[in-house]
Amino acid sequence: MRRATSLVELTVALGLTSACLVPVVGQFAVRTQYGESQGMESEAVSMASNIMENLLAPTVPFEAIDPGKGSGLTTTHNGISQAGFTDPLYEKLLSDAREGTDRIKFSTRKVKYKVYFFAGRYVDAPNVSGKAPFDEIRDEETGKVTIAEIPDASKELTFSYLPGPYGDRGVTEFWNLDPDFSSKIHDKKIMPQEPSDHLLDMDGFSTVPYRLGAFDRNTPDHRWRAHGDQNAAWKYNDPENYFRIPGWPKSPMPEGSYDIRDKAPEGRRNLRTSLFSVASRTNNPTWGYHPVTRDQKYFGAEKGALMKIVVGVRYKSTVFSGASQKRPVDKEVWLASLKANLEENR
Amino acid sequence: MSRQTRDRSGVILWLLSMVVVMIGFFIMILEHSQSVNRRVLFMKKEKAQAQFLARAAQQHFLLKLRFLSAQMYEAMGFSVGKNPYYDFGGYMRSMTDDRVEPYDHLEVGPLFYTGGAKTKLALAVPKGDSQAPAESHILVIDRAGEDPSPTANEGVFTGPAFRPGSVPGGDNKQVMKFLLENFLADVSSDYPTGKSVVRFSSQSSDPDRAFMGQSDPDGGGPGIQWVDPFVGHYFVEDFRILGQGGGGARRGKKFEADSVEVATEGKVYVRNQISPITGKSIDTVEREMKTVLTSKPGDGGWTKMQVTVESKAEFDNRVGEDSSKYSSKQAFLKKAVARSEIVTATYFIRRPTKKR
Repeated sequence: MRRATSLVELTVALGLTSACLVPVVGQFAVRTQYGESQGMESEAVSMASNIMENLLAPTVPFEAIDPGKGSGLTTTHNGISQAGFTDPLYEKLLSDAREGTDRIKFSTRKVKYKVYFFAGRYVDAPNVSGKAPFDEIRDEETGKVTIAEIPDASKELTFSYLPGPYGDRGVTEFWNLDPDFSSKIHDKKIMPQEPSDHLLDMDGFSTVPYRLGAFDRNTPDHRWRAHGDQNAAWKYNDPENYFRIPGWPKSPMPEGSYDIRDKAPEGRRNLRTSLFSVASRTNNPTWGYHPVTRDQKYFGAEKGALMKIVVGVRYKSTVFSGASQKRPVDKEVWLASLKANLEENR
Repeated sequence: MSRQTRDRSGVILWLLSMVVVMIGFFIMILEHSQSVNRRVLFMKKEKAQAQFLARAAQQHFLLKLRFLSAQMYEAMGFSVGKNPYYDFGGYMRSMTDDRVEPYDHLEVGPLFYTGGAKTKLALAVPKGDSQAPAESHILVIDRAGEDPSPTANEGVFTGPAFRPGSVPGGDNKQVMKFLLENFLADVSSDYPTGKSVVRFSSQSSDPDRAFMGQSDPDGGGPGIQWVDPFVGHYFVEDFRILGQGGGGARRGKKFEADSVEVATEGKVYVRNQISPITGKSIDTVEREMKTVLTSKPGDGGWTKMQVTVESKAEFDNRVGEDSSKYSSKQAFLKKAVARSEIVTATYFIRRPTKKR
């Protein structure tokens, strides 16, 4: 005969189950809230990323962003204004509504997030005087010498490059220095005309047209090769920023290494240091190393063609400091990037 | 013969105990899953921050490319041992013993500055090209047989080169790439060192030169006391031209339209993140909760489930080293855990061709 479960057994079983499950369920609830908090953070990262993607996209013109247009909105703790748009249509990229002094965006789960948007341009700064004699500008006709102004690379956005190895010294190195190389050219490489014309006669060379503002390849201008001492200090000696072009650059890096990935990241850092030391005239350009540095004004962009963009998303969440200790907090996710003015009609 | 029945008294206790144990295991699995999710999320935020810094480098580079495109092409040409001034699209009259005579005598030197005898040259008839001069040819270059390794004999960078071959300690490949490396060097945050123009830092001691919050700033004025939400860096890792194209006449066609590839790297430090709104530290990295099973003497053999928050030592070990060990924030940042991301993107760039 089967015996039913007794009331005593049932009571004891339920009591034990309750004793075990109550704390378990309590902790489960805590874990669920914790998971919810994680979900909101994930959503905030996605929202901030989407906003930043939109702002960087070519569909939002560079000029449509006005760094000071967000007056009336919440500022930074030290009073810096948020950015806005010249056309209010773009505002939809950032927010669904306004609440007080904040932009508000709702997630797909209808959770409310505050959105912050800051921007600022890297505008051109006044140039500084070069250091004589290396930045002398000599007027060939009048003989008047003035001191050139150079970009202030410590205060404004600059762009540097090393000119290619053409010109008098370059020609010498290319064609006459290494007899094996000359032989190689003669045997294998393509020469436009008889090699003897080129290997020995610099008159046969025209230099690179873009580099020389007033240069016309059909009217040979021999100033580019007219001065000769390779050991003399480098000079910018032309009133039209026209300069002589030495040969292949000599590495300014320690031990003369050309490999900037060697001993990374020191190699890259060393190259930057060398570049800036010449750009700022801390060290003078030499025949071996003479990077050219331009500022934005040189390209007609003194108002700045690069902009820093910072986007923040704020939401209410919970912080757990123990198994059952929690407190509500405001949490934030911030992203930062740059946007360049790449438009055709800039 | 009657069937014998077993005594089932107390079986419900065992059954319920099993249920409780199973629920316990279920929560353990959930806990583990959430812990993994938490770490994925921990990566996700810093990942997004680092990716957008790498994207910043892309924008910075594209601006420089727009300003100094010819100089970039020149540097790029040299970096592969190629003469950037040679009109590779020009028409040729004839070829004799691997030497060809072009129509346009631009006097710009050889095709390549480095390379071996495996460079194959041939002429082909420009079919369908109505602008081609009579009996002209186009140049066909085949360098597929050459080894791109810098040390290869008869390779792409084989000497005897001019200057590169004579530089102590530098192989031809690095030397030929030096113009390009210089072109890429200043497209980075923290340039120049110590007085950075573009800088991402939550340290207020040296703000960058972005005039945040100003519609029409005076570039000669003082910088803005803006403090970024985190510390990060970016630079250009590599750049290459994938292919040149574009319509129009072959003659004089230089830099009309190209596909280029840019690889940039962004790096963000996990700690020292602040809110620009409040100026206070953001609790970006929380201590993790964890569930552990404990069994202590005196508990009657019962295993207890306990939810705890990770200790400071565990937290420091997970997200980075303890800042208090370092003499300064800068020293800490050098050692602190950071998230790096590389972004590689291809762009189709186009410029109007200036015909002479």
